[in-house]
Amino acid sequence: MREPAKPFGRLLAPFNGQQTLGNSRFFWACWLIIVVALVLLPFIGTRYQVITASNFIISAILALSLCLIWGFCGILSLGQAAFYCIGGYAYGIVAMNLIERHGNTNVAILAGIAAPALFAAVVGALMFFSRLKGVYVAILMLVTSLLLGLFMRQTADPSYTMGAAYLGGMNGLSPATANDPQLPSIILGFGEAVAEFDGRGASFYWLVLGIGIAVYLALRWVVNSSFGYVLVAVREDPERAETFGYDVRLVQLGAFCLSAAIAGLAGTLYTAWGTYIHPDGFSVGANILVVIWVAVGGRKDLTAVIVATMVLSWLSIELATWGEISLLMLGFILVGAMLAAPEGAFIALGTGIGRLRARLRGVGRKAPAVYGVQELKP
Amino acid sequence: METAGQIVSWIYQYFDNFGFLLLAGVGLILIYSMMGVINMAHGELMMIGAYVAVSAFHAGAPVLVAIVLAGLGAGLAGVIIEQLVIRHFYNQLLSSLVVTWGISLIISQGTLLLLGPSVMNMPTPLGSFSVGPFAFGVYRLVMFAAALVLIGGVWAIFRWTRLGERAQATMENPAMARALGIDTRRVYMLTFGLGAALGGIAGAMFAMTATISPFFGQNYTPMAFITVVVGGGASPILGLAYAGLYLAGVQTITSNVFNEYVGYVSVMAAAFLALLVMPSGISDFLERRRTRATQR
Amino acid sequence: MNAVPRAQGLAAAQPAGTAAPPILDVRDVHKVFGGIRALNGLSIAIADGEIHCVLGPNGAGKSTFFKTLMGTDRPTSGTIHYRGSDITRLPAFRRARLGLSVKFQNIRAFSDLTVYQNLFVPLRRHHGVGEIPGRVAALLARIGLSGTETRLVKELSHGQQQWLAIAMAMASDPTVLLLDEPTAGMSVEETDKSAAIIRDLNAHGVTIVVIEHDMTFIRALAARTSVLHYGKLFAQGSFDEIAADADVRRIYLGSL
Repeated sequence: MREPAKPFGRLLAPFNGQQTLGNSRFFWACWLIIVVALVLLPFIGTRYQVITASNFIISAILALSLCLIWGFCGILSLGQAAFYCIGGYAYGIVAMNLIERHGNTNVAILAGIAAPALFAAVVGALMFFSRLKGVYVAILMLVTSLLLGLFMRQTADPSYTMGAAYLGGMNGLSPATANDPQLPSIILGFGEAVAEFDGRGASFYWLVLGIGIAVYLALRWVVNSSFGYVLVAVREDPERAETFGYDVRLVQLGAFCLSAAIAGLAGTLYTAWGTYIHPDGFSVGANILVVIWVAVGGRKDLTAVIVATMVLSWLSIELATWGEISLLMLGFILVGAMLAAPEGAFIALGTGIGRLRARLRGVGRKAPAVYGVQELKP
Repeated sequence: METAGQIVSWIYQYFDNFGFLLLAGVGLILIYSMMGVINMAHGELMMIGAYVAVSAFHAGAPVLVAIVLAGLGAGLAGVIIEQLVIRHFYNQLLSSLVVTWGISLIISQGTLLLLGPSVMNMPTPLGSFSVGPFAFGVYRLVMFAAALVLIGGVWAIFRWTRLGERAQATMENPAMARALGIDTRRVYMLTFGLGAALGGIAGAMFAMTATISPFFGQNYTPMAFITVVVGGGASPILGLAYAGLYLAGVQTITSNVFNEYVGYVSVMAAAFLALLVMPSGISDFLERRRTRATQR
Repeated sequence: MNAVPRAQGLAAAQPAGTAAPPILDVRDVHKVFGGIRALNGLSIAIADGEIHCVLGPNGAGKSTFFKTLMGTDRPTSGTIHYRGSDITRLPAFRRARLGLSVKFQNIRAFSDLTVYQNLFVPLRRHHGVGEIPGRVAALLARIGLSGTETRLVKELSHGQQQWLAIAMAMASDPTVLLLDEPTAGMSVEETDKSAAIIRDLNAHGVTIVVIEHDMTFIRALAARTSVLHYGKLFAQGSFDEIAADADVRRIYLGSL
């Protein structure tokens, strides 16, 4: 309430609220500086850094998708990478079949988002309408992911083709025959007016950065909107939320499908980034990585999850130069973070910064400005 | 003779699958029903047992001794894990799921770093018998028998020993148990250690039929979890038995009629189906039916 | 929204001479949890438009009775009818949409949401977004919590949380309001105020069922009273009749 309704404040109001850390002008100023720095990265960084940064942002989008259902709706999925890979395969298969006829990958991108959402709708309806316990949902999603991986691994037989795409087992998705097109990177536009975003280039990086920012802002808006309150209510006490007339199963299913769609978008971008998709994405290692990013960051905050994903991904690469220890270290980081800061290390850091700033300004222990009320007033 | 062999083969496979599910699930369900923790590191405890058994065997120990050592080794690892980490996560189902998953990553990656990716194995003991054109390993029947013995042993411990009494009191009402002077911390530690030891023994037994590597556990955990989830936590031993009976049947039929992959998928589908009808598992479902019947 | 079914209910009333059908009719309900019989053949009828108090010693099944009414617990056997239609197997959210609302014994507000958002959640199902700020302000004024909109629930005192829980239950404009120990932890003045609010709601046509231990409060409501004992209806009548009943005194050594 401290912030007066200046034009700047009103612009940000939909993205601020009780469900996100960082609602102050100080936060948004820092945010803007970081975004500008990221936009300028291709001019200052090396080509390798730009390519790696694209991958990090894609990972952050995947982490955000898990953050949405686990942090805000209380549904943990240990198989979030399944949605990512389904999106990746769907994008690849559709793109390879349509690229020569359409000259763009518009439909393929939509397929990469829609396929995991549909899959989530079917699996989620089964799980939520039978009111399955949360732990069972978590485990069944992991098992689903492992089974899909098992299936994809044994598709080396040449009969596993879908039009111009050959599933290819452990070799990953590839053209069915020598005459069929390779898996394309993203090509947006219609007819002659198309723009190609090569995964190795700066344009792809800017595209991914733009999408990442859009997903972040969209999710901040969602969790601070009326749907977000209902999500949090369902997370905190599903039974109580139901006695207010909400069909909790539908709320959960909606959040689950939205999360799968975002994971699918990330998988689509990943496939386009490397023009490659492989069954290993369904494995335990891929799934656990997503959970580590979100748990170490702090599942209840979008910003913390993004920062954690970036830091941990960077750390993995740095550690890899010391040998095969990065997963081992990530395991220690996960267990250590859960012991020391059960709500998430980066959330603890964020609240710490907030408190320090408040003390420096002499405001005392008061929580940062809340926009939840203003936002809803007509 | 051909048909007889075929029939024996199906029955044999059924008991093989059933024994597999029981062995893989027994330690897991013990910990889940007693402590409300689904231990994602169970497969890695089995892996520890497998490594201990194989090393002991190659060092000259008899098979039985190797199995006992495997149980002790995994049990000790379990106690250490419980003391360091798990005790902070009782009755936090989702958090304990994630933290034990982290532990599984540490154990498997640590083993990979220490021992390298090379595989080890030991011979399958006890030879085979044949019916018609089919040959069957005796050892797999012994595994089934061992599964029954272990489950019977767990049941006996809970039925007749002081630890069992205290464990049951703790399970029903931890606060009350503490008030009665039961050291619930110790009960939890021993239960977790026992569950881990059972995993270690199972791992040692599987080690004689499969090659072992640092990712040995990952081959067993999904099926073990499905069995435990379908069994439910109300009456762990019965639940595990019912779930094993049911899922092994589905697996035997579908993997024979189609192939092994279809067999796995069918088990998954069968588990889903069971959970649609009984969302908290078979044993909870039966418990509820029974209370309804007695109430009439 | 809720006026419609109420009007239908009146239109469908029985011909003169016979009593109006009860708004809630509980018949022979049993509820067993792991060997404990929380409800053991409870039959009770709540008349349309009344205030009904439910008494009983601890463990008599009062809270379980509310949970089976609201649908968060399914009875092991027996039926529950609402305005003549069977709702026994209806999930809680459908009962809420029929016009049932509950305040549970423990507060159960959403502690990570603000006071405003806590009221928003029940209001949103029944009202347009535009109406909500006005309704929140009115509810908060009524329970004396104006100005707390942006506070998190976990920052409120216990008494304030209790008031918020009552306001949340009222927020959906229910036809039947179930209140489980609404005055627990309240001062004498606050108890008087909540009795006044309940009487006022009732005067506007809301049927109210209250579980309470505070006898002055029940006396102030002057309501029909049912006593539960071992999961069954033990006695029923006006509060004064119940207070004078020797058997009730025997099972329920309260300060009657």
